Amino acid sequence: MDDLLGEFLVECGEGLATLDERIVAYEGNPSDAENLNVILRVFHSLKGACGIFSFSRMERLAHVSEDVLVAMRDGRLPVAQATVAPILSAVDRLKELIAAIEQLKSEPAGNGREDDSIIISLKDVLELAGGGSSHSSTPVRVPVESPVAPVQPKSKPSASEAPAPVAPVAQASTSNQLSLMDQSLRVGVDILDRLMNLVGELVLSRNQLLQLVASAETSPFISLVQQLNRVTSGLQEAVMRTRMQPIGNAWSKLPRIVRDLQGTVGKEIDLVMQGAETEIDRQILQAIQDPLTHCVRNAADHGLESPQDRQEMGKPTRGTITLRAFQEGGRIHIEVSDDGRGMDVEAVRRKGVEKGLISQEQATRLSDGDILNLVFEPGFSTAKKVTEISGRGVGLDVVRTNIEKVGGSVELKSELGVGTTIRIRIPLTLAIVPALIVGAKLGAVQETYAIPQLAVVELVRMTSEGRDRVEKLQGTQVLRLRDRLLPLVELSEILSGEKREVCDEGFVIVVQVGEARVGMRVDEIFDTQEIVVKPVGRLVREIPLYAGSTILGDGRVIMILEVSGVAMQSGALSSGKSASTEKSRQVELSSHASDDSEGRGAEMTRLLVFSSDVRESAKTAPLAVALGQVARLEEVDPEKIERVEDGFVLQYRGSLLPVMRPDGGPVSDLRFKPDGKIGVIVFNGKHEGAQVNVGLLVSEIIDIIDAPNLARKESSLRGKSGVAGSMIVQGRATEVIDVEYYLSRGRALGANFESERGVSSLQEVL
Amino acid sequence: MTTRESTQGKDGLELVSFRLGTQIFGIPVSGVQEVVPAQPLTRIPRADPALAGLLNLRGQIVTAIDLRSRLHISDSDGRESPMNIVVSDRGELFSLVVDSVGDVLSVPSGRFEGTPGNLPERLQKVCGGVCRLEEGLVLVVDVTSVLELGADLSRQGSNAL
Repeated sequence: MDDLLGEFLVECGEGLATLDERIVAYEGNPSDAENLNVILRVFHSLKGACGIFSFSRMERLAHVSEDVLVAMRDGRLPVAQATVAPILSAVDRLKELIAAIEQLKSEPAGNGREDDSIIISLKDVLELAGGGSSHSSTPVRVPVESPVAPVQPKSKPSASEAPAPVAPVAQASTSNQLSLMDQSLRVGVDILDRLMNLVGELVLSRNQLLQLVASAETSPFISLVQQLNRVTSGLQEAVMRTRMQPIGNAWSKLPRIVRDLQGTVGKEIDLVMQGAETEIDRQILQAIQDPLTHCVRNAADHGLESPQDRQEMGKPTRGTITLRAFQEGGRIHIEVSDDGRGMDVEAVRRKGVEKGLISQEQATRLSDGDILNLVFEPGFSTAKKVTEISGRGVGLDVVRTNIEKVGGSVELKSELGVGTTIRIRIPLTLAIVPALIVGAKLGAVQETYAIPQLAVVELVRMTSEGRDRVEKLQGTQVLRLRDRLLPLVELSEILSGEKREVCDEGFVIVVQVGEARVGMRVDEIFDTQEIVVKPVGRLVREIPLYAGSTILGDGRVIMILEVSGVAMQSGALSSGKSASTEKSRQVELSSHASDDSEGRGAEMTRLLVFSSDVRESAKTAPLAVALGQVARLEEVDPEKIERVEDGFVLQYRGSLLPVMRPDGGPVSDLRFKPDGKIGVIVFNGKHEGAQVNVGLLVSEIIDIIDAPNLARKESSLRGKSGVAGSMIVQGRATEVIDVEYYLSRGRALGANFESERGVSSLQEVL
Repeated sequence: MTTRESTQGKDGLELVSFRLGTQIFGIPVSGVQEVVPAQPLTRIPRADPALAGLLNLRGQIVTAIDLRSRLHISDSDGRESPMNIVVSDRGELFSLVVDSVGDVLSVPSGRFEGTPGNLPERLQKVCGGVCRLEEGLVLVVDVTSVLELGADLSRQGSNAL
């Protein structure tokens, strides 16, 4: 229900409820000016409020009643049963109308005649005042009696006399169910917040008690504490419920917005809302209101086609925007979908490259789903022209930022010609959340922190031999987790701001930050626990690493980490969102990619720098590739590499992996690692629609660095196969390889040996 | 809420006196909620060095500020048992960590004057004035300005729709 309308109903309802009593009291004691003033005020504000909503029937009733009362106040009318009665019937009618509005969300339609009998009787009374007669009650009663009498007894006669005074719904509502007013109480948000705080305290004390009792062998308090535990949990849940609001509250403005948009954009739009009753914490509700509005505007403006276009495509001329909300797995899912033109993945892909959001290689490597989600990147807008509705420079990136602020995530799915769906997932509440309690060594002291479970994907125990292990590359760590490389963040380094010796023990918490996953190394994992999020003061709030603080069972205060802040701080998020503040490792650059991304110079990509030197010759320039493009790093025995017709393959995980030297030369010339092994960087991606794996043979992994995104063209390099650009890395010219080129070569090679498979024409070359 | 205005009541002002090193400071009683002995503090990495940490005051989180560090006082005099002066500012609780807390001093209005111009700038910024008392000169700390400090890391302008 429109919240403004809701307020109106509650306020007017409260006002009207007092009127009966007050009017009757006034009748009994006309000298009570104070009472009369209250009555007049109620009518007056009612009149005003009805004017705002254009509830003309109510406005008229209130207006005339007020006139009568003013006449009484001025002494122009006697206060008598006959003069007061019409006012009471007006009050009754107003109440019926309020009840009807509650049901219908609008004033019951009417031609204005329904209330005439009441209005006439009121006006008749007024005429007495106009005539200036103010003697005894006799002259009053005579003219008034006839028109008033049929209306006076409220219920049946009036209903039959006036044709359908209000819609039948109203009648049903008054008799069958309690009105909104009777079932709900208005309670200040501050009181709710205080309740929430107190429950938070209680939960903490409960936790403390539970700990105490658990440590005691036998305690007379066990059953009592358990009882307390139960009650506390119940109370906590109930108080949380008071903070819950139906998500429909965040939607209430949308029908109006869509209605107005129809005219502006010249489209016909139906808005379907499902699951409006799904409840959500009001704090989160507030946070998602604007993003939702934005998504709907976007759908109306960009998503849906014009009626002509739709007709041509054989779709109904009216477009549909569907809002759907439901609860699943402790989260609220909200979908905003349209049945419009959908998004052209290829157009997004091109645009992404044009805008410098992704490199040419990434463009080919990324899945359609990943490409579509580029629309959430800052600076992306596919609309050809800026329109009044949604092209104001704020894009979907702000939607994502705002959703992520409350621990949510957003993704987009689209099918060309069929429609687009934006799916938002948000936590139910932010006040009490399950969290992982972890330890990080800062200097000699181990400090305790909480990480909200919502962000945690999995926990990995680190061992030096395990399959999931940490690769140490010149001080930068990556976690090899089931064939993927994850950037690894050392929590204690981020917190202390100092480098720490590489440690291959402890735990890695894999966290989700937007679409990216990052491993966070901690020294200890203690526990999972429901924690009460306590907001931190303004001085601490400025630090992006913390989401708040909490008090543990033993009374200790610990900080709750803001996972995205920590990841951002580490620069572990490659490109796009990560404006790394770490300046020290920046490199100068000169490279070629695209023109129009000058403004994005501050954004960083994490590069893997390696060399591929030939034995017994001078060192060649190092090469680099974006770490995000690397699927795996392997070390293999050179003997395992075999020659095929046009190149080399490696028996790898049960299949053949095409491998090559960056310069295309023979494998045998490559400088091996001191242990006789050879390094392989494995890439996988799509080339011409086929999934391709390819390995690049390298002699040495040199470093991992953060470098600004490739940005400027360098003509001399254009056309050189396999090179995407070059930059200066730590004083040395470094070529950034073009992964796409190697994927295409791998594809050619793979196609060859695929056809030869079974003939076993592989010969050893080493 | 302790501005220069409110510290100069008609009938003088009352100060909670405390010591940092050898210097006596005062803070208007009106802004002080309570004084508590040293508490375990939770460190806040990457915060302003003067942010001593958070403490748990009967379930409420209080931001503690190390006044010594805030006022750059490096007197060698030790602080065996620091005290917390809990103040409330704009609805939030803060604790000022000081070396020791003394009596409440009543200062007749005539004894209160502006800070001398040659006071070091670091003190100039956070002191509302000076009181001449028998105990010596008492520097009156302005709570609001004491609480204005930066962070090692701070959020860059937040996004709003």
